[in-house]
Amino acid sequence: MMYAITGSAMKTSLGEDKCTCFESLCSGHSGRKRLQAFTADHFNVRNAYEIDDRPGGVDRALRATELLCDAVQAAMQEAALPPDARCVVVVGTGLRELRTLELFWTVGTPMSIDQLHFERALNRRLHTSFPVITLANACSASNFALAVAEDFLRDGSFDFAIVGGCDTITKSMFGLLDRVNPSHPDAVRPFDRDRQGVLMGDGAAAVVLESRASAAARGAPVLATLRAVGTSCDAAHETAPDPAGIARAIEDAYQRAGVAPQDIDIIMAHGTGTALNDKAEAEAMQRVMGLHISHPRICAMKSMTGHTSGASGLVGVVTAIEAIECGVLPPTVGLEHLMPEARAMNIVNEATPVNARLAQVNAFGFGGVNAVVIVECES
Amino acid sequence: MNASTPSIIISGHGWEIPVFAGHASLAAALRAGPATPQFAPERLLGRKGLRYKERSTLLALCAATSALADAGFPDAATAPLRDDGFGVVVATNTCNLDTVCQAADTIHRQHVNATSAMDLPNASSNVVSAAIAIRFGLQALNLTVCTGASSSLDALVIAANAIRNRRARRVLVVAVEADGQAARSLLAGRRLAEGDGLPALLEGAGAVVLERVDSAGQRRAPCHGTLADYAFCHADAAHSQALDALLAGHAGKPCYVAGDSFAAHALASLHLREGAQVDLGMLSAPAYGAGTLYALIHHCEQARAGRPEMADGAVVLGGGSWGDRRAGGIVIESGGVVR
Repeated sequence: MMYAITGSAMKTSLGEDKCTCFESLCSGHSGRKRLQAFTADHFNVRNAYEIDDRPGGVDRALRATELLCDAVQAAMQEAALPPDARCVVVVGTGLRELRTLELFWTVGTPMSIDQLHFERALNRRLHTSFPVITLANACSASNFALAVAEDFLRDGSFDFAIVGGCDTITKSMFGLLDRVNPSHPDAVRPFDRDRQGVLMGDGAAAVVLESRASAAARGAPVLATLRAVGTSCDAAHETAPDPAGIARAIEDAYQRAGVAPQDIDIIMAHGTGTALNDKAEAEAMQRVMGLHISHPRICAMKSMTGHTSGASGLVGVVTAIEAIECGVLPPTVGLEHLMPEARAMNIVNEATPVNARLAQVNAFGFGGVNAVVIVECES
Repeated sequence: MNASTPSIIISGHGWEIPVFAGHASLAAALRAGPATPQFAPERLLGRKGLRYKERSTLLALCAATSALADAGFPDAATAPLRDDGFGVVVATNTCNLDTVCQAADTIHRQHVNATSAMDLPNASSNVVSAAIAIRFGLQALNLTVCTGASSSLDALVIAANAIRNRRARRVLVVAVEADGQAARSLLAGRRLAEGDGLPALLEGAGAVVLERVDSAGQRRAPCHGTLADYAFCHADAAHSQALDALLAGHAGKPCYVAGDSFAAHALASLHLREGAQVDLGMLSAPAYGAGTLYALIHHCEQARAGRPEMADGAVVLGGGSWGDRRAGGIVIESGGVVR
């Protein structure tokens, strides 16, 4: 059985809701700003893709939780999900509420240990008693959350699943990425020959999943169908990607979805703008898609949102659905000189009309954790 | 769960708990009580590759090594399996808290260039599951569950679901919690100085190997129990139909539950026979996210030792402590030879 997506939402540095975000993406706007709440002279890099919601640059606790609650609430509203539904929530995050832990540790902001995850806050906001599963799966967390949610629905214990993804920038991860990068990137430039590395961003997204029969029975409009989530682990290196592992996740996604490489119309690439990641992603796609690599139009949206870490996969899924619905694929901005390994790939650098049905959304994370989503919608 | 789905068996288990080092079973360790912590990861892992690893990673690798050996993979720690059908699900909450706090503190007081580049992998909360996959060559799905006190209950359910949905043939489920300054401070409600505070949290790791019954049968794997029904509930809810139904359906089985936990009210109405409640004391609530897995391992050990009261499986209740509302239970049916 394949599951229907009946509600979706996202929030990034480009906007408060999915419509604003998508319009900004299609306009090629960037959410890049000077550092908002971190003291800039403690870092080598000066920019990030933060949501501008802290007046005076004063940081506050539980921002990742807030973003998640906003996104989940919006997706639930769109799906008209009843609050007493048999529903499980699966949240993918790279950094949990570790930014609040940092504030607790460095400036004494109050925090309790249960606030590292999202169950209590989310149910309080939604006035629900849903089980909330938090998966800390690095930068592919929310795509993995989709897989786990699909498994819960197949298991039969739940009729609905809400899948969320959220992350706000932590000082430790942002700083350590800065520390290990000899270059000091001023922007994220995926697949560009002169890319210098990744910069992080804030973001959250959510979707509501249910069976097509359930959606039909209650008259809920279907935004898209989740065809499959393919998963793998490189089991090779703690931080460096391995094309073989990425290729296995893509192959798994195609096999589970019952599609072939030539069926894919658009791809939301992982595209973090680091030398190793973009090269590994291009090699893996080339390996799996062969000559068909040139067919799908490809967008690397982190060029505008920055790397929203564990939220990024689901932000890509929501964007892909909007792109098919609206018939426009957002551009990859800042792409001036395509890197040689991506020469056969059709990476669009301006908003491009598309007549698409099937989208592939890539997400890969530290620890070699790979999750690739295939969604389908009628344009 | 769907009745038509294939059974998921437990083919191996192991644990590494420094205050219980040297005991043959968790039951024996509990009888003896905690001792001065002893932890020598090189005993199982050798010396190579241990530097810069989180303590939680080392504990988890040791427990995993024991569980894999028990499941029939004795050489996995030295000769990676490179198996794309073998996944990892880790339950942990405290794995990397000290690293995150120290890095943030260094940047807060100085500059990113004063941090150690070697801390980068450890700043990611899935560092334990990644290290396990790399060490043993486990290439199928890889997850880290961080849901507080119910983490290992959730991890077992998620791993079993993933196997049923053919994301993996078998999955190594590991639960680990690490004592540390950040965890102690969170529990104390204020930042404690180095060495202050009491270890409220039981440091250690447990691991089990889960696999499809047909896959286990092909390699004549041992079966120490079968995972069956589960139910989630909220610990502070007056009533949970799902949990009540689970308990009523398995009233003849011993029930692992902490004496002062959420489920006492649920159990009271079920007229369990005397002695049917098993309270593992410091292996339950103080074990935080690892508690459910320790109970499962305790049951497997006791059943293998031929304890008659464990011959028909058990129900394990967990979660619902340290501010976490959610709790739940999972049923283990008795083991036997896989055919």
